[in-house]
Amino acid sequence: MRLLGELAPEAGRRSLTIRWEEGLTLERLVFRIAEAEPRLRRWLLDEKDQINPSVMASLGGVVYDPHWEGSTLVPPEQEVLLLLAMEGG
Amino acid sequence: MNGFTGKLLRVDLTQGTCFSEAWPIEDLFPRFLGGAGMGAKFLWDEVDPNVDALGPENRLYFFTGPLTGSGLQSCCRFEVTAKSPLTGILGEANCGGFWGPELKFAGFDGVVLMGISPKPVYLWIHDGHAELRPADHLWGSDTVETTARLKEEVGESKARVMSIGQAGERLVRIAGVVDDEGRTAARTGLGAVMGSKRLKAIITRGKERLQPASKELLQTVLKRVRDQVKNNVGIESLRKYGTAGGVEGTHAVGDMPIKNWTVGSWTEGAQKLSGQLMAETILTGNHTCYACPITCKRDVMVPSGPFATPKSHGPEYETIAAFGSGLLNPSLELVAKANHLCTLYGLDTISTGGVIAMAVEAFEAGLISKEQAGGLDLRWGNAEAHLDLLEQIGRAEGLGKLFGQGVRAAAAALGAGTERMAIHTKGLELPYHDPRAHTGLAVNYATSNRGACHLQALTHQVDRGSTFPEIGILEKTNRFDPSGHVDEVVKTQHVSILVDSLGLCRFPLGRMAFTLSDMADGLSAVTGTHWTVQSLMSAAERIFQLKRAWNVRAGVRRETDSLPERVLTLALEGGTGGHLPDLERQLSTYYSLRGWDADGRPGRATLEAIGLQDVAAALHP
Repeated sequence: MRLLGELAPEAGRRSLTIRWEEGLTLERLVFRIAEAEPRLRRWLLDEKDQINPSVMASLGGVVYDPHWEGSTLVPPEQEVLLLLAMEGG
Repeated sequence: MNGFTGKLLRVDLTQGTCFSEAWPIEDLFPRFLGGAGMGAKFLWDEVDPNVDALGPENRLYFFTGPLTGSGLQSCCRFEVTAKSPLTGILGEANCGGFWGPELKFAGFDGVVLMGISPKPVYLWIHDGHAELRPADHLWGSDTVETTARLKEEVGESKARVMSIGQAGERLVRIAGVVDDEGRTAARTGLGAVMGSKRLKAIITRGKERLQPASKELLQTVLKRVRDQVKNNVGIESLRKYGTAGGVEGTHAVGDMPIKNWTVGSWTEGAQKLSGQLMAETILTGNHTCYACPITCKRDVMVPSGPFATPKSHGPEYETIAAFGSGLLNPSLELVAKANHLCTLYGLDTISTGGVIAMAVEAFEAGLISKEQAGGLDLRWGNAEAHLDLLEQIGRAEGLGKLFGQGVRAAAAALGAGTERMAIHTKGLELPYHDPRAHTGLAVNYATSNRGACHLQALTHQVDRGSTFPEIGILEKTNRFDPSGHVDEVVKTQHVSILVDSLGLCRFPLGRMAFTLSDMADGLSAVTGTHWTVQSLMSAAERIFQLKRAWNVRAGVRRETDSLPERVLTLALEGGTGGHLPDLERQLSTYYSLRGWDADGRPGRATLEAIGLQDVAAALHP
């Protein structure tokens, strides 16, 4: 499963390969990325080490909210796009 | 009273006179705070809702807030208020930068503009004095040229300017008032009100500095806010990418309107419009407002090509959506050019994008002929034609003369089914956040006092994780909740009123780098009067209901608390997943919370309970 992270400004567009496992949920995926990439941690997790409420995930073009839909199962061979859904102005 | 100069500048443009008056700030401040609150109060007291918005009886108010220029972070803003020529109801627009603080340093809390000058003039305010000077030589100039010439003429390179361009001069209903760095008090056509008074510009310069009542308390708040700004992810993103940094995320959740609100997904386009891409291409730097550590403002330049743009104030998210996704133009260069033209002409970018989108849709549907279009090939993605129409709007020429009146007027003139393409509420073109992606926006847009406005409540931010624990908003809300979480709408409408009345910026607030407690403590420190979050929210409710009351007298009813049919019924693919807001359900709950009758009129008991006895008597004779 490959992850695309358009998340941390200093990281720009980046690609990570995360090993898929049976029962991998969206919530667990975000935490795995935060563990694998310390530089992304402070963008993915808030000061209480919970998922930053502004993080959104696109799986196959469908957008999920990890806060409300963290139990969504991530299929194998799935490209995931993480976004920090900061609002405009 | 600390936080105020205690003086108001009244300008009788008909007579050509200026006079300074001491105003009853001890009575007005506790009830109406400043800024937008004062604008609403003065509008209620001095302007009949039935006057001609472009006639001599309308008044144009510029009010700072008690925190404007206080030195507290991001407290630089001021409000412009009048009857709107675009909507026919309360018109107001907020602006940052340096002009607001400079007005205070020049000795005035606000400016009241009355009547109509027989000839073009500008207003020069400096160190407690004010005078009207001829502006015939400036009439017809764009705002950038006007600013440069005025600073030279008064001999003050550090003076601050608010001016109108040709759009305001020619009474284009979507004209705004532009500051000397390209920020605009944009919405509701107040540039046309200024143009109707033949007032080209207001230039200010002052050397006074206001002292807070408690330096010690202010410093405590300053340190607290500084620590909250530091390492704040949202603030960092704003600093690096501006509000444009949210383009791809906003698009992904279906919140970025596309092709005049008819399409739900445009990934390849959104990727070419992001703030991140801007930083790699046309961005030359960033700048900030008075006393603001965020530096969210963009400087951009397009050195060559069809969209060549000199170094200038860069586009925000709304402008990118207006000229980018709204018109299917996947080009930051084009957006930068359009943004710069709007600055020069003095146009509201949100409304301008909205009217052009309607024109394109109508042309593509064969409802505007090639002859009517004057040779413009108004197709989706035909950027050159869009820019040509923009310039026509700025000069009130050709097809631009019609569309510069706003989508509601254009639809009324064209008929033939163009009404469904006119995306507005109460005549104000919708901003570029979609109630189909954040259902709370539905009732917010429908009830915002100036027409559809994403800034009047903050529930789409709460949907993305912003919290306001002091008022019971403790966690992220579900953006598809069909109830629209109306309770949060009401509370955050009050928060927005506080921001616009006190003179601070909502950006640090929305990212939890500046809290409501900071607001209360900061106001206490500056003014020397004791404020709590609760007392602030009470004042905010009073201001909101006062605005609504004026609007009711101007004709606002439940039937006008509406949304375009397309937004309520057209389900889209993409990030909204086909969700639609249930406005009727939300409105019923909202009216109950607000204490309004079935037609949207504030009840007598509701108004009397918040100290608006005179308003209650007027609405319930």
